[in-house]
Amino acid sequence: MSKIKQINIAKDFSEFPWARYRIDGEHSGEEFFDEILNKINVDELDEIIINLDGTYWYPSSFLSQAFWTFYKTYWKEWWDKLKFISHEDSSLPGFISRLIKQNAQ
Amino acid sequence: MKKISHIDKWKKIIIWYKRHKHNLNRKRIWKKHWQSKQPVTKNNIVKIICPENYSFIDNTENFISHLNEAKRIARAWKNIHFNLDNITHLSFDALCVLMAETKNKEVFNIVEWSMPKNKELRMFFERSGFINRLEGRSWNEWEMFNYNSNKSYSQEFSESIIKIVEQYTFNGNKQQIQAIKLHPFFVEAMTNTNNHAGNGYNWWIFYYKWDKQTIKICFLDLWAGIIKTLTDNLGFFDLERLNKEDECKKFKDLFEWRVQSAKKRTKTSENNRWTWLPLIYSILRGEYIHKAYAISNNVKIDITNNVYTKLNNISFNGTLYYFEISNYK
Repeated sequence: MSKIKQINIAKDFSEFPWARYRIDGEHSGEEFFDEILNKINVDELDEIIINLDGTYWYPSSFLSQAFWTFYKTYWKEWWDKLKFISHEDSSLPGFISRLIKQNAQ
Repeated sequence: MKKISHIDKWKKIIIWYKRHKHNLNRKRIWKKHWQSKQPVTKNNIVKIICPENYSFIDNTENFISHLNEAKRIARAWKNIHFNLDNITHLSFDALCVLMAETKNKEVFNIVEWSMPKNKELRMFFERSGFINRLEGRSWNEWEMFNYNSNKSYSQEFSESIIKIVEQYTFNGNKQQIQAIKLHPFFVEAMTNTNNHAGNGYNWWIFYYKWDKQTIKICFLDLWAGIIKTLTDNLGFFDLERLNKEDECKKFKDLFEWRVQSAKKRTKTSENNRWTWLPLIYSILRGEYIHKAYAISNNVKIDITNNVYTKLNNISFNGTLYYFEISNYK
């Protein structure tokens, strides 16, 4: 049976995701990576589902800090385990992938 | 004779530079002190006749020109009287720019006003609470105009405006306020000021409950402007694909994300730079947002209609984003 971890950013973190670093204020991308993403044992999981719904949308600095750090830390093999879902804005998962792809080029 | 070493020479330059800065600072403090002790008389007050169409967006060149004139006179140790007697049009964006500029105590000392003769404009001016804000008096409930200014982030202010828009414009419908992405707009715009602006330069956010269900929002950053900041950081960008001649096209490129960093030189170690600008552009082109404008340096952009206009021989030393949020698409 596949092991799946679900994260709902609005419920598990904040409805108002903030900017890039902790010094910028609470609920930053750096804080999200340190407190949520980095505490997951990626090795033991088959899939991590990130639910993006319920927030007041995302600053690009939050997204790139949280997920680009994830990409850099766990490399591409673990990146494929990350699945983004958003019923409220279907363009959002594509927006994140584009951000990461352009950084990875 | 003892030869001055290379290090000694640099030490001397640094000492000279520090002393020079210290003297400049003393001079500035003394000037402010002297100016504040001067009685406000006819001799040291200069009247500035404001343009009839008192709108920053509709009458950009004349507006910047009268403001530059006021600044030039204020720097010559004079106090300013803005004469609004004969204006025929008065807009919220003009009041925002005027307040942010005149609150800069480095330039302006005493600023006086005369009210518009036109009854409607006079009412608008009074009801806005502009003078109370300017003089730092407390907020009255009947006034519609409010602002915050800061160098760093203000999560509380950003969240409070979002909640106001949610309640006032969308009757508490969270999905609609989520759709307009106001939150990332504030974060990106504040971030940019926070990262790039010099000391003493804050961002300004103004909002105005205009009519039932419409809120006008104005974001101002009076530091340098986008093109100037870009030019100062040329080494950090891969500008091969960015138009170098035409500034309108340069803005178009920036808004459409054609600028990339020169690799490995970024602060964030990412290849993307200035991703906030295309994001702001896409947010301001979204549904429920009307009359979105950006003015920076010598370019005015009607974002809603995608029209780029170069200003004639005049430049705004900063960046303004203006838009209106209404409950219809």
